Amino acid sequence: MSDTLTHDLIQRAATRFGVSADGIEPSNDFFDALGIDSVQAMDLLTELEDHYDVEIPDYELQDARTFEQLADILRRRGA
Amino acid sequence: MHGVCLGGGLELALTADIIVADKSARFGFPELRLGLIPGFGGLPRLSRDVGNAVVRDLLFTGRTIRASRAFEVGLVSQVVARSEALTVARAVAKQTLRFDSVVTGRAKAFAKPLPREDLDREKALFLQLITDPRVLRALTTFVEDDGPMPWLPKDNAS
Repeated sequence: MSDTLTHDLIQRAATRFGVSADGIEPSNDFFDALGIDSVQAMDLLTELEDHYDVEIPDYELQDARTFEQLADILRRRGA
Repeated sequence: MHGVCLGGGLELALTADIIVADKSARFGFPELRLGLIPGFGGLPRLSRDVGNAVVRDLLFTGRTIRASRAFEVGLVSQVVARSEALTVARAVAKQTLRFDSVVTGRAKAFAKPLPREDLDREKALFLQLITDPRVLRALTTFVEDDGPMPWLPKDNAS
């Protein structure tokens, strides 16, 4: 599902880590697409929590590998 | 504080009189996934500073919280822009030095009591837990792990 939130999430995450959002699909693995490690993933978490004003417990990321799954978590948390 | 502050790092941070965190900071106690508790004063000091619901949430889920949330719950004293924590912390330290050090010391003894009894209980429990062979295996895995999410709970920690 490519919606506004998912698109915004991809743009925001790509900007945060200095990669181009062109070619990144909602179904892409965000670790691979952004080229980030686990510590940087925590920085992404902070970025998303601050921007969308939500709380995302780390353990919810266990089942999320793609941008659309991340967007689903944000949605459930009220983004 | 800036960046990731977990486990022993948070235990050390909690000994500070005033914590200044920049917006990149995240705090957590992931020890339970290794079969341990924080064993160096982290639990008594966290319990001293924040509400018990927050202590249970951090401890039982192993989750981390960002700086602004940590400020809301009383874990840190000030939140500043990214990369500004050290500058602000120096200004805070300079300000505290304007007051009479003896009076500040007496105020500190009143406002920041050392939870000695709980520190002893925490140490005893930590020493009891760390003798479990499963804990040693979990610690070994933790050190050797290079997976994408080493802070998350792992099946082999149980």
